[in-house]
Amino acid sequence: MNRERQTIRIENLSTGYRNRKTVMKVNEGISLSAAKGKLIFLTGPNGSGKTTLLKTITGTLRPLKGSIFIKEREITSLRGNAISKIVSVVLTSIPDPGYLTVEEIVTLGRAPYTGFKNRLTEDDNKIIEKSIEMLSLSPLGKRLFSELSDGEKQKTMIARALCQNTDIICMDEPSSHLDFPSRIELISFLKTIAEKENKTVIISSHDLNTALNSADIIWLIEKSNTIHSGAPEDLALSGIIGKVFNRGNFRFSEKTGEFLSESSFSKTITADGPEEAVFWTGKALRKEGLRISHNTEYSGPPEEIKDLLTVRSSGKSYVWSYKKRVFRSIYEVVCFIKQQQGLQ
Amino acid sequence: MAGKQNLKTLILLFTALTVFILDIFTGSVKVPLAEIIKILFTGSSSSDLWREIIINLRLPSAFAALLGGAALSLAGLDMQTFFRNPLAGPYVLGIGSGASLGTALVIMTGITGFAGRTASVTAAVAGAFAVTAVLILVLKRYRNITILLVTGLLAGYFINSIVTILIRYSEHASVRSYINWTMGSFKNITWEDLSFLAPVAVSVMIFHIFMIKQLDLYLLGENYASSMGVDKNRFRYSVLVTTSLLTGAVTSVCGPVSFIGIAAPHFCRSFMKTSRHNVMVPAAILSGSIAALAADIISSLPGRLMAESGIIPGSLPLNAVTALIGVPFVLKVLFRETVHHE
Repeated sequence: MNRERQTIRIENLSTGYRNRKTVMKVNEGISLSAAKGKLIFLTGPNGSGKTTLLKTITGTLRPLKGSIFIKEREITSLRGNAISKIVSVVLTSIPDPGYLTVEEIVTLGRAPYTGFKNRLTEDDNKIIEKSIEMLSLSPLGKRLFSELSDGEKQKTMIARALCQNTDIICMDEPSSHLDFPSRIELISFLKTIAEKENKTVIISSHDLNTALNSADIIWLIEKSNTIHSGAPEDLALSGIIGKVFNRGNFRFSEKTGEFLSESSFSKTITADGPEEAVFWTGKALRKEGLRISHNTEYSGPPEEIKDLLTVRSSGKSYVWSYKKRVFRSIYEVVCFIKQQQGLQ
Repeated sequence: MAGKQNLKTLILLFTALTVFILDIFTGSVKVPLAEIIKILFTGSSSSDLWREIIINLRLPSAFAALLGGAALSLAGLDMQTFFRNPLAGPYVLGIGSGASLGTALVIMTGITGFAGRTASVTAAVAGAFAVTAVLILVLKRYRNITILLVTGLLAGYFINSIVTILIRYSEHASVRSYINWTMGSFKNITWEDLSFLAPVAVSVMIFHIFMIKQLDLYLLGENYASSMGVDKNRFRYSVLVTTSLLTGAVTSVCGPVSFIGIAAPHFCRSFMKTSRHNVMVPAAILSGSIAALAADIISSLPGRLMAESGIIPGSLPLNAVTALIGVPFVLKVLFRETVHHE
């Protein structure tokens, strides 16, 4: 990678915890780099060392060995609050600061740049305003933080991190308290921020689905001395995702990008009808160990295939028919087929 | 917002001055109003007794309440912000017990006078320092507020049992003076006592100018604060030193005055409607003073009534007054801040 575009370069890094007597190594021999404007997901199975690596990058933990360069400066050589001008942090846990407004919390992000009196310059105020706008928090500016929803609270913490004006923003599971839509919204915000503001955003997360759908780069920890780096699609296609996450019968399908149970299918049912209905019916049957095949080649009268599952739709209501019986929901279809299976 | 908060700070300042003056004007002996004003402005009076009461009893007592209340409230504010816990306070986490042990050791040895005072203040500060240091170590290691509170509580029991053993083997007179001291009082404070309390309290208050920014960042917790440039080791040390100096100095001079340190910062937060420390530090100082002065006035009321009706004069124990008012208040805060379940 071109060195000018690089914001962070990790060389032969060993992470872990050290106290007076013992050293507990978590990962070793890590070499990674990242460019500006990229959204990076740091992921891996539970206990693989995501948080430890993130803490080492943010300077909370000292590396056991090796170096981290941010803009060609070794972070362990940084003194005082210098690192807080280069790396900002958003944590999983949402703080409880008492009576503070959204604006006041975002303003705290300017702390590394202000003197002990915390006096703000014209420029500081502009950056604060811009950060609040970027996360669409303007209408909430004067509200108390404690009155917001979890999603809004986390957005406030991110606006504060933006205010810190750092090249790198590190986040530890920032969306784990959020419901699904807020999570998607948050991640898309982060992607925009990375691109527009030319920052490197590193998110530690075990949410592989979101990582696959949103990341520019995934840093995937396989085991203590192996970390893969690449676009999610490259990692999927090359089978690395499967290699790291496959558990027993649950395997990552390179075709659908999903984890499926690959217990041998006992039977294949041919179905015909609108694509979306067949898709969801197939998903339900798969849980019962049945494969579904969409009958697209055959064009004659559908009744001629033995045991064809047909779906007819009018608007958003669907009707299933199978073995001369009619069903009003997927649930009924599955119950019936399961019963049939049991009889055989 | 800021204008409103300035106005509220002025209200607190005005109230503090009012109760300060009221405290000088009330007491168990009735001194005519005109005489008090004359004594305060000219330093002379037709009665030597009245002059003695105002100059050497009521004035030092009012100043002790003013400074002591402010110091305890400020220590409470620091601890509540640092430990991110509404129940933190100088006497909740065993810090006051540390100070008490220091003082007890000195009282029991019977050293009096200037040497006794110096020894007692130093021992109290050292005792408070030791307990605070243990608490910070516990927090650093376990990061768990329940463990912190339990440690503080147990430290208090542990230290109190040492004091009990000391009492068991001490002379009658020194035990009595220790017991009186544990009731807490702003009375019987001498100008010499104030010469210990005032410099410590005032210099720590001034030092807070340099702590305001870090305290604000600590509202988001230690991890966020350090990610925004606070040197957490240095800041821990600052909190350690300020809280133990404040608690130690007040405890050794006025005894363990309970509840002001925990209740006054809570009152401020809900009165000022902010947690920002540029507002909270002055507000906590002023409301601590108000609480202490008011408690001092209340504790001397029955004495005054009894004196008028000819019964032997005496004042209520200060700690009883602060607890009777403080306990319901702290409970109210606790209930309001906790999400309520069925």
